[in-house]
This record gives sequence, structure tokens and C-alpha cells, in this order.
Amino acid sequence: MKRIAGTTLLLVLASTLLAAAVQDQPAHPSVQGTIHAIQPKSGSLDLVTGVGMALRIVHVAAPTTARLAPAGAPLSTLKRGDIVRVQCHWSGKQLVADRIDKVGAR
Amino acid sequence: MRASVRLFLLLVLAASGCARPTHPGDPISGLTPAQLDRFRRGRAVFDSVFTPETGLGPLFNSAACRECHEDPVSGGSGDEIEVHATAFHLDGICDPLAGEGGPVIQQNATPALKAALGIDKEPLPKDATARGLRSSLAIFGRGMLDAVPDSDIASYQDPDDKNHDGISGRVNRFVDGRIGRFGRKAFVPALDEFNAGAFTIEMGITNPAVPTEESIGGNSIPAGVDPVPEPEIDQRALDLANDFVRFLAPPSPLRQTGAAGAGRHLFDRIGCASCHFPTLRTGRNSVRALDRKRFFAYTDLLLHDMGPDLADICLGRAEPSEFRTEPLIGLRLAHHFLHDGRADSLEQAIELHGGEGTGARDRFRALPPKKRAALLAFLKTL
Repeated sequence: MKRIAGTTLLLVLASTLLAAAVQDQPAHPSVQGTIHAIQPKSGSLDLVTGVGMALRIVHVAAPTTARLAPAGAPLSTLKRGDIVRVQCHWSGKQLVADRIDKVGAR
Repeated sequence: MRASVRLFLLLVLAASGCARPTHPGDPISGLTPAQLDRFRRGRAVFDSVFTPETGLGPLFNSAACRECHEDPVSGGSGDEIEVHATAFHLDGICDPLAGEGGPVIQQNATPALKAALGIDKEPLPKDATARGLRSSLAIFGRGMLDAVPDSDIASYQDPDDKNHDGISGRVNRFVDGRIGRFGRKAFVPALDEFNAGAFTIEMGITNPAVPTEESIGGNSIPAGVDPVPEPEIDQRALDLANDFVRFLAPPSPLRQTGAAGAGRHLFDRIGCASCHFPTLRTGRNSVRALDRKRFFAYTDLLLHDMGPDLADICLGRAEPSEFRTEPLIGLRLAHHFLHDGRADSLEQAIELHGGEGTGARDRFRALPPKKRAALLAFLKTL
């Protein structure tokens, strides 16, 4: 009985923490960075972002039908080294692109 | 001296813009009492020594900001040498190896990380094509550099050397496209971002701006190795540390009389000032002491090709042989020179200038000994 109560308490705590973490994330984040890798067919972008010299890779799913805003060019025109701004939403723990703007080229 | 004469002289000095000279570690003049208070409290954060129990690591280079910036005062230089690594590809793309732990390779590990993985530093990323060493420089006057408008820096560029002076500086850009200015490759756009990143990459101290630890060569930190919850310092501490660095004054140059005075003219004449611009001006700024101030900077904040002998890593758009013109602020306090500290004297540092610095170097070599000594005497007043 004690074990069940303890497990229940842990689950409640974990879900509360997870809810708090989700609340901290903006619903529609914007990510701007350099393309590290792009897979237009499978629909994903890896962007290098960061603060100062602390750099991170952010993985963004992009629907295979996605087009570059505003001209509508296909994602396959993007190259490694291009700089993009991606408006996203969260789908579970996954960032999904809603709009991709190319803001600079290598 | 009669009091009225003294008052008259003081008024003349004030009207002519002469201010009390600033010494290493002083705050910039003209701060409000509240800003001075933040400068002092920020210095305490800067001097704080972290331990694993307060968030240090698990990978780190130093346990305190001051550890690398301590000589002769907080904000000065240090004798630590860092290791950086990136990958430069044939298509001209620079990979900062963000997926393999980033370009800064931490040289220390906490006991818990050593016990878990058996490593005492971060391994060099397997995809690195080059490694670069970085000395720990003084950070006086960085708030002034931070306040120079991007448009000014961009206006100094001459990437195609249209004026045919052999100098073709260009801006570097951060991963999001903004103009960079901080770091030896002018990669980081803003001082507060450089500082927030430094807390994490140098000490493993997460903060609200960088809430995640560095990975270990791209792999997650083993469970239980870093039990302090993120962020390991709060926004208040981060802001105070930022204000300390932002408000650190550039030390006033010493009096340039005699040989040093002649050296100042030679500095211009042989072309050093083509990249080491003697003064820059800050733009509009909400801090009055930083608002539209001209200051001695001796940099253009641009990238210049320094030749193959100095080349190491790429970063952003900076190719391996490109480096930002080093600000010569507080130069007289330095013991080692160039980005990796390889030069033990100013003369040796000048001799090692290549690429776009070749012309000025050769003109320096051609000077008679007395004039060379004058130029070095001038540099030792900065």
C-alpha cells in the first residue's frame, strides 16, 4: 500500500513539474539560426543557435509540403550554412515549423 | 595657489572635457550612485568561486570569472590558455561543432564526472579540423565596445579593398546573422550574451539565458553527476555580473611625451591605425556614461586576414587566418600578446603580423632603431 501511495505521489509530482516546464515554453517559439543539416524529404532541419559561445543544435520538424516564406520556394533550395528564422509550435516535445524565412546566405 | 585660480583651472578642465584618469579596475566615469552600487555588487559575483556543490561543471575551464581575469585586478588578464576547435569544410562552411559539445573544449572535469566517465577534460571533437589556443585577455572597456553601433562597424568594411591600401576588413556574423564583435574572431554580437555563454562554457554555471549544460562531446551528462538544479545562478546574479563587466572603464592611456609622443605619430604613419582605429564612439545608450562617448579603442572590430602562420580555427564567417583587430585597451598591462599568447613582447607581436598586417609590419621593420623604440614606447602607454 505504501509503495502504491509513494508511486502515485511521484507520478503527481512528475506531471506537475512537466506541466510547469511546458508552461515555461512559449506556445509559438521563433528560432533563428544557421542550418547545420537539412532533410527536405523526411522534413527536418537542424539549426545551430545559441548564446555567446554556448552553441546548441535545435531540431525542427518541417512538413514535407512546407515552402519558404514569402516566395514559396521549396525547402530543397535551402543549403547548409543558410540562416533561417522559423516560426514553430510544439507537438509534444517536438518543434514543428509553421513558417520558414531565409534571412541570410553563406 | 589661490582658491579662485584653482577653481578657474578646474572649470577650464571640465569645459575641455578632461576627466580624472581611469585606472585598471575603475568604473567608467559618470555612473549614477545606483549604477556604481551595481558595479560593486557585480564585482562580487565576478569574483565568486564556484564549487560542484554550487553548480561548477561538470565540465569547466575555471571556477570563477576572476580566475582568468585577475591581473592586476578583477577584469584584468590571466595566464590560462583555452582550447577551441571547429571544422572548416572545403565548401567554405564553418561548423562550430555544436552537436559535439561546441567550439570551447573544457580542460577540467568535476570529481563526479571523472568517477562516472573516467575523463578529466572534454575530449576533442572527432570532426574537428583545427584546434586553436586562446589566451585570457583583460576585459576593460568592453561595455564601451558593446555600445558602438553595428552601423559604424559595418561602415568600416572594405572587403574588396576598393581603396587599395592592402586592408580589406569585413564583419563576422553570429549563427543568427547578427554582426559579431566579441571574441578573437568577432563572433558574438553582444556583451551580455558573451557573459551568459561564458558562465556555462567556462564554469558550467547554467543561467536563465543558457539554462542547459554543455554536452560532453555531444553526449548527455550522466545522471547524478550534476545534482544542482538549473539554472545554477539566477537572473539577478547574471545581471549584476553583466553590469560589472559593462561598467569596467578602459584604463586611460599614460602621458605620451617624448619618444611615446613621436611613436603615436609613427603608429598612424606606418599604417597600424588602418586597423587599430585609435578611437571609436558609442551610440545612443540608456546609460548616460555610455551614451555617445568617444574612447580609445585601437580596433575596428572587423576581421582581417593575418596570414597563414597565425591561422587556426574558423568561426562564423571568419576563416582560419582571419582575426578581429585586437583592441589595444590596457595594452601596457599585458604580458603575452596575440590571440594565443605566443608573443612575449610587443616587438615580437608586430613581427608576427602577416596577411593584411604585412605592410605595417614591413614599415615597422624598416624604421631606424630609435623610431622603432619610439613606437614601442607609445604602445606601452596604452
